[in-house]
This record gives sequence, C-alpha cells and structure tokens, in this order.
Amino acid sequence: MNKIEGEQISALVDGEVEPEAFRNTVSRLLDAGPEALDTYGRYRLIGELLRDESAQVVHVSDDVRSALRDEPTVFVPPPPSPWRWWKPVAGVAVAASVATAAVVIAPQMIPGLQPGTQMIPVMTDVPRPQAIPQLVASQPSRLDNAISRSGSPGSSRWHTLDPKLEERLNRLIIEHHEYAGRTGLHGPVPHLGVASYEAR
Amino acid sequence: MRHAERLWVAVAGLIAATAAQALHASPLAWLDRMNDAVRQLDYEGRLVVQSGDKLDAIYLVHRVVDGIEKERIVSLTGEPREVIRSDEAVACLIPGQGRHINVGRNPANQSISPLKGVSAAQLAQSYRMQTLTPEIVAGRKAQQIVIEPRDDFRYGYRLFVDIHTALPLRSIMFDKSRRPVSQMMFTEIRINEAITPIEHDLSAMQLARIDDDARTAYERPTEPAWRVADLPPGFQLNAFRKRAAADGDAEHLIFSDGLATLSVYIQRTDGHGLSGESRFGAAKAVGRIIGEHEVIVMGEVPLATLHWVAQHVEPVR
Repeated sequence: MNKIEGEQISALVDGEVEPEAFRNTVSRLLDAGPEALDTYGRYRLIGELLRDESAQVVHVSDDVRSALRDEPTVFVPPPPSPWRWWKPVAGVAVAASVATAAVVIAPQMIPGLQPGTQMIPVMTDVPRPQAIPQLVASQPSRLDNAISRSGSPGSSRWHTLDPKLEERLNRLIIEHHEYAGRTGLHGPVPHLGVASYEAR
Repeated sequence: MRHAERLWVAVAGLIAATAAQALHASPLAWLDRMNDAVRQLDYEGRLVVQSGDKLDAIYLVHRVVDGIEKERIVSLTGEPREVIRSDEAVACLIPGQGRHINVGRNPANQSISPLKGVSAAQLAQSYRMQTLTPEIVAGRKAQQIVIEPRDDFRYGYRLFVDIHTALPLRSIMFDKSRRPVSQMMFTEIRINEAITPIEHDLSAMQLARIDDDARTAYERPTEPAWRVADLPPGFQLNAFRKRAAADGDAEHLIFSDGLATLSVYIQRTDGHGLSGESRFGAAKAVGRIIGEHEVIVMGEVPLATLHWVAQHVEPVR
C-alpha cells in the first residue's frame, strides 16, 4: 500500500472526502484488499479512541481479543440446581470453601449431566472482586483447547476438529438465521454473518 | 400567490413535517420502521463486517420480486464465500465444505420479526432505549439509536438508521460492559435505484434450489416433545419446528425477547454432537447430551445465556 492510499484512507476515516469522490474512494479501499481494510480499521480505532467513543472501539490487541472471547458470568444469577438444598446445612464458616470445591466438582455432582458436558463455574458463593470481573474461562475451556490445538486463535469459524460437526453447525446457524425472524439489528439481511467470517 | 406556488409550499411543508416527525419518532417506532424496510426495499451496496479483530468486506444485494425477497451476499475478502437466497432455498458456499449447503427457506408470509411478538412494556423490561443525534454513514444521514440491556442475558445495540428509508446503515452489538462484540457498516449503498437483478445470475440461482437435504422438510408441528423448564427473563417461545427422521424426531425451538433470538435443536445423537461450546463470529453455540439425545443451543446472545438454556432443556413429561 502506498502513501497516497494511506492518505485517502485517513481522509475517509476523518470524513474529509468530498461527496463526489466518496463512492470512488470507498471502492478503491475495498479493491485494495485486506491490508487496506485493516489499515482502515486501525485508523478508525485511533480516531475513536481520540474521541473517546468507547462503545465503538474496534479492539485489535491480543488482550482485548481474549477478553472478547470470554464471557463474564459473575453478574448472571445461577440456574437453580438440585444441590441447592444442602446449602443451609453448611455453616457460614465452611461455605466459602465448599462453594470453591463445588466449582471444580459440580459437573460430577449434578444428576443428568453426562461426562464431557461443559459446565459453567457457579460463582455466586465465591467472593467477587468489585473491580475485576471473573470470566467464564478463568480456566482453559474446551473452546480454548480446541483453538490451541488448531493453532488459529484468531479464527472466527466454529472451533471444532470434527468436519461433520462443523458442517452440521453451519447448517444449523443458517436455519437459525432463516427461521428466527429478522430484526435488522445485525444488518439488513439474516445471513450476513455466514458470508463474513472465515478461518485464516 | 399563484396556485402552483401554493401547492409547492404545501408539498415542501409536508416533506419537512414528515422528516421532522421521523427525527422525533420513538426508538421503538424506528425499530418497527427498520423491520419493514429490511424486507420491503430494494438495496445494493458494500459494507464491512467486524467480529473481534476480524474485518471483512461484503457485497450485498436485496430485491423484492413479486413479493418474494431475493438476496445475494458475497465476501470480497479472503476465500470466496457466498450466500444466495432465492424463492426456494438458501444456498451457502463455504470454503472447506466441499459443496454448498442448502436450507429450505422460510415461507415469505412467516418471515416476521420477533419484535412483533412482544409489547413495548415487555421490551422495556429487558432494554433501555434512546435516540441520539443523527450522524452521517455511507454519505447518508442516519438516526442514532442506543439499546442498552438491563441484564447480562442479552447484548445491547447501537444503530444508525437511514433517516429517509429506515434501513440500518451501521449496527454495533455490545456487551454489558459496552465492549463491542460485532458490528457492520455500509460504506456504499443504493436504495430503490438501479439495483442489480439477482435473478440474471442463473448459476447462482441454480445453486439455491431445494436439494435432498433441504427437502427433508420440517413438518407442521403438533406439540414440542421438549421444553426449556426455566427461561432467562424476557425470553419466550416464538416458533417451533419438527422434522421426522428415521432415527427419531428432530425439534427446533426458537426463543426471543423481541430483539435477541436463540435456537434450541434437539435430536438423537449420532456421535458427532457438540459437547461444550463453540462460536462463529458473533454467533455462539453450546451443546449438551441428555441420554440418547443431543441438545445444541445457538444464537447471538451471551454464552452464559446459552448455557442457562442448555441446562434447562428437558423432555415434556
């Protein structure tokens, strides 16, 4: 990418492209390929950071990417579970340690769950730091393991090593978008995401 | 003042009043308009889609021909990916699949918005909504709407909706901490003018025919054999599909809070089920095995919501 293209991208981000040249500039940006688009994303990030538009920030660092991959659960009320009855029996003194142990052994304790079923740590009985949210994947999750095995931590596709399962998930997500009804919230057409993301 | 001049003043006043009324419409009124616009208008353009640190450029065309929506979505970056939505089926060409995936499309008269299934009061229990000052997106003036979730069971949205047509020109989905999860933005768009006819691309239309997989259609259902015993607040069952298969029925339950949607799929396990979680851009999936059945819950909602639902799926007794 040469300097002129960089200046054009910068002008596009800053809204300084003349209306009559706007369409042509956008077309040239899209034709320039992924490198130019990445530059566009970085320029927007810088601009939005400078304007403190935190809700629009495009995160690109590894730390932030990791944070986006993990979902905070500490704010979510836990589902009622069959082992809730014995909580009153336990004394206040042992509650914290028992709850901590439950995070580890709950998958084996809850009836109906099969071996291998992914379990969210139930965090409600664990003292929660106010400033630093606990994340679901505080321990390496099955997803993280799959990512590390596949060697593509930035991949946007299903993280599965089973091609048949991946094809099935692709079919199911298409059915989901087709039949769940359209709101326009994710874009004007329902299948935008299916065409958007690829493993790279 | 001559008659023609009076008429011109009246028309100009009417246009100004309509524009002013649009600018002062409520967020819910904007969402209603957007819901209709995405289905009813012809549009064509280029947009960028971002999820995490991935940025992709997309070409999109949407036309309504004899009341039937047709769409074509083509990736402009990376390996070729394409989605064609004809009057029969949705065909997806995805790299690495070896062939395209065909799914029978939702009948036009059933392609309704989940927003229609909830009242304003119900929606207000899940989200706070407000309009902000308009901004320019893709060279067009867009009304800004912010939809904030009241809890962690759903994401929030920041929308930029075209003032004149109500098409979404930019959309950002963000979590409770206001971190963006995904976003899309048009960089160029034409609306109701010189739209490329999709049906002229016969090879693309040929792909979007009902094949054997798509032909194993879901039946008109009676009652679901499965249910979610405890739904996250605000979510309700919106739709239910059932498919008879040699190894037992497969069920598809669709839940929504009016904006966010999630699907629950239940079928007899074939040894290739999802155990744990996975994601695809902004969409996520959680799998669980219950006896001889596997449950897959997916949607553009927080992972914790999918886990919640998956853990509360049970057979109807």
